[in-house]
Amino acid sequence: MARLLEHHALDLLKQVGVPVPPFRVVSTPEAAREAATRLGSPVVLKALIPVGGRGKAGAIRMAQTPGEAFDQAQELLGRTILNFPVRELLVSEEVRIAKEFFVSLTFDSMSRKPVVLFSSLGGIDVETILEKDPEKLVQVPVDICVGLQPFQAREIAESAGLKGRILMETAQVLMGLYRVFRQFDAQTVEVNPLALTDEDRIVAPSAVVVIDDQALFRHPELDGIADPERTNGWRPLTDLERQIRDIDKTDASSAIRFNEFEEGDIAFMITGGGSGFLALDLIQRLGGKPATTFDITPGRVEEKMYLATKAILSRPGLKGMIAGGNITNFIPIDVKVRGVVRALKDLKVDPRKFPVVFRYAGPGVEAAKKMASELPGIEFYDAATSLEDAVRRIVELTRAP
Amino acid sequence: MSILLDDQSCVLVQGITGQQARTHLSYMIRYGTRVVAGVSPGKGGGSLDGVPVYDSVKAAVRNHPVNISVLFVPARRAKDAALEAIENQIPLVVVLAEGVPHHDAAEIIEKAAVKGVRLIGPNSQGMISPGKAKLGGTGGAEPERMYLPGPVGIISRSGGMGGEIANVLTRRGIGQSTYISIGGDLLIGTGFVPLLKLFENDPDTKGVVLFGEPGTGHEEEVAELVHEGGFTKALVALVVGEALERLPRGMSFGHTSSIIERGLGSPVRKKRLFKEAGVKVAETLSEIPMLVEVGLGLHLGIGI
Repeated sequence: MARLLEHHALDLLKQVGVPVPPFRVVSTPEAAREAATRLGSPVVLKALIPVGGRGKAGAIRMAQTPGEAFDQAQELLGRTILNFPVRELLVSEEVRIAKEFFVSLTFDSMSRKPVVLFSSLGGIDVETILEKDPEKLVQVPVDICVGLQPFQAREIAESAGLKGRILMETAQVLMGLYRVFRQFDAQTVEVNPLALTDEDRIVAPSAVVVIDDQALFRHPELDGIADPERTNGWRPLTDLERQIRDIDKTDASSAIRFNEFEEGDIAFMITGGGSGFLALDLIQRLGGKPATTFDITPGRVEEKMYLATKAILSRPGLKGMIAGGNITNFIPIDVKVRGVVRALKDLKVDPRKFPVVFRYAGPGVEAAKKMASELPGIEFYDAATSLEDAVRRIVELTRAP
Repeated sequence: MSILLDDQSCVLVQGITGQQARTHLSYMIRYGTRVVAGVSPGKGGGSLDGVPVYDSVKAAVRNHPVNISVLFVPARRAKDAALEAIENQIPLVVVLAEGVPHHDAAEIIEKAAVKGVRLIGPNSQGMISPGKAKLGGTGGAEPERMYLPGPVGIISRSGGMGGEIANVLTRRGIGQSTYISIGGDLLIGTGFVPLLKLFENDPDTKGVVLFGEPGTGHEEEVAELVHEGGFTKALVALVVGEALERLPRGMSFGHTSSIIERGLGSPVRKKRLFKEAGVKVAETLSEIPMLVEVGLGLHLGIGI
């Protein structure tokens, strides 16, 4: 997932003709004051960080005068809010809201269609709308091969109680948002609140656009804008996460997914979506503390396993490691194991003191076992032992005596 | 018996000249799969492992009866290849590619529904009816190591974990009728429910094991089906991902479906709904064979 910063999201909306308030992006208090002067106060200042919940976190401020804009900017810039350092602010004209709406376009996993969500309860999140008054959430699935039709957009606006010109303007906004959704391979396009101003205009004062990173290959126009590197979803990448991403970039034939936890003392390298979850559930249930999660897709993996293992084991405070995954069908596992064992040797890890558990099964298992046996102390489990028993073992071994 | 796939199924392999396809083609044929033709645009004319290769699906189906197409086509070209299979009315299309863009997946699924084509995947590992035939990567070179013919169906959102489930069952002497890897993506063509209905009508399947994950409403749909009496055979489910609920929201994992949103998708809730509907919920992989034996009324632990 690649969540755009808000000014980029607003730019896309503007491109398709959705009305957005005039705005500037600034990185100094002086520039904020200047922007407020040019735009005309009052203005809204928002921290440009790729995460939701900014309002509650104090990352959105009002300024009545250019001087106030300077002060607010000074307070926001350089701070870390919701784990992200604030380097830039969006300064926009204040939108005076008479009424708020909620609009979101996303995929519904069960109808397998894009769905337009619209509510006359704006300004709160969708979970809260569903809790408060599910009747007030209109959900309209769209046939992706045909696209959102103008009549559907009008029906959506109508069902939220809109009439006349405002109904037509809202429908047009919905058409525009759908165009952004399709044109840029978005996973989510959300405007909350969509505002009816006190001058009776429909305006999108803010926008969230999340791009499907699996489709970025066909969007050179989003280069440098949609940047999955900026975040792992909820905070900036840690140094180790950044290092692993760099390692991943060395060879496009396979892809690594990696997360680092703040706490944890077990290097946890169980690959596979399902087996990773299973092992993570179990290790937590047993009271073990994983320091990482790690997944790698098939490809030329030896060098990546080598570099990643070296990087991960450099993390201070580790008490042991577990590597492996579910039984593979055709990927020779000795290639993976060779990478890991090479790293362990390079780092002069002594598995008799630093417990290392492998659970690898699939083609090449005998060669893998032989390699692992070169380092006395590595516990190697194959298909005869379940992944769960291997996880249980690393928890036992790393538990303080 | 089995569902969807057996030794009579006529299989088309799209993307047959790719490296992975060639490896798996030989494994599939060795296991007994009737591969009747292959497609590789621009490379038609010759043959691979005795299988004639065509430039288009249209030409392949003109010359051969085909009821299944399996796509060894990379994610970026998966939409084109899947639409080609769907337009040519192949009744069952299996998309193996991982990383298919969501918008492409949605288009493929929509078109398949319109044409009445059953779509498995994207991000499926394939399927296997032990002793008869296999599709895709499932089972690898030696499916016999993990799979045994027998009375238990498996449906899994994780390709690898479906194999692990087969492995623990086989080690206990419990065989499988058909295993289908449905894919871990947010948008997949076929969820658990339509397959459970097929298993319900398969006289040789006595029970089914499901592997569920966080996100989507597929497990919730199963609970409803069972509750309404739409599936009456023994059903055992393992749902992973509880740990995810204790982690920060938004953290990304391998499976794109693992996003919990709009009240759907919580593993804890999925398990609760399963239990309420009478589905046997396994907390670990190793509990599965025992629960299956109880469900099937076999407590003796002897082979079937």
